[in-house]
Amino acid sequence: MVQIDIPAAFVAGMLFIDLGRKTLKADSSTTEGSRKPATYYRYLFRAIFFAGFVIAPAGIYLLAGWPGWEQIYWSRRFEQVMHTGWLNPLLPAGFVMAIVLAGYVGHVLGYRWLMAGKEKRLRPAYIGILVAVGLVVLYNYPSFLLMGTYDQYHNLYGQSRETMASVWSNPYGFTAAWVGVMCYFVVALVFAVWRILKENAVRDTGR
Amino acid sequence: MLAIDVPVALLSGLALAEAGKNMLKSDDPNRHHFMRTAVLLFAAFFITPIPFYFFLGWPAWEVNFLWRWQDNLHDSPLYSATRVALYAGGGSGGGLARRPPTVGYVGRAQALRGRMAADARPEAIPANTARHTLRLLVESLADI
Repeated sequence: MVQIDIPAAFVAGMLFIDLGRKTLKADSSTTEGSRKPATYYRYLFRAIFFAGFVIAPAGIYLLAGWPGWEQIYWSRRFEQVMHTGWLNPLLPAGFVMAIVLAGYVGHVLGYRWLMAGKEKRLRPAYIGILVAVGLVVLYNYPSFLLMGTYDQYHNLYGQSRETMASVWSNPYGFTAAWVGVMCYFVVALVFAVWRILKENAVRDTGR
Repeated sequence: MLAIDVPVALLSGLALAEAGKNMLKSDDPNRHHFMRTAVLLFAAFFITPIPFYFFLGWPAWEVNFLWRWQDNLHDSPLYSATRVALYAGGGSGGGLARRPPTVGYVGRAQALRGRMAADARPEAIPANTARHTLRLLVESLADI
């Protein structure tokens, strides 16, 4: 969902900093002046790569195929991007850019806190954001359980919410697509976390 | 247009590699990581959103009216995946520099083929360029 994907990219950037804080701190102490260590850019690359090649494609895929559900029926504009002027197609393009930007900001802010000795803020910050996002989605119940259009969900133009399908009944192939997207996301996240933890473990043992 | 945007994305990756060749040739990992991050950011903010925007708003024009499928992507897992492919294509075009030695190599190889670079080194390019490039790209993913 649009409401989840952008904060998720921010959280991922901050999570990577949190998991790799030992390495980042150790490396920053060996660099001179305001120069950043190599690991800073390595982690920045990870944050942006994860945002751009894991979260963004997943979001685009669901937004392209099932635009109403992907933004829990907040706006009709996402469903009408073709031949409707200059603004509507800009929204999905801006969505992609916002995901990458969120990943970048999450990394930069996390690194600043880490270097300022405020690493205790990291975990409450990204967990708090996840909780807030979860509450926003839950507040929109039952939008995330129904598949259809903006007009159907809001009972507009003679259409009715009653005619919407359950997301678990694989309407228009949605359930299968969503499961595929989630598998892709989980595998990528586990791989990224494993890489960072392994890197830090190697640093700890001095090998 | 797709026929223009994809080659432009590839050329942008090569141009960035050429511009940052001193950093790519350096032994300093700091410069390598900086370079590939810069290329990725460039791809995400300046290359991909442009064809993506036109493909969403005016899909038939974007593909030079070659096909019909792009006019009806909603509620279709397969067709909606084409947008992801477009996004990935735009991103990977500029993102050839995920691993700096790779893009340095690809840049030199391509430049040599096109006779665009006077300083390209023929001895650095093995016989099977495509396979070698693919291997380096796979290694670059493992290097994340």
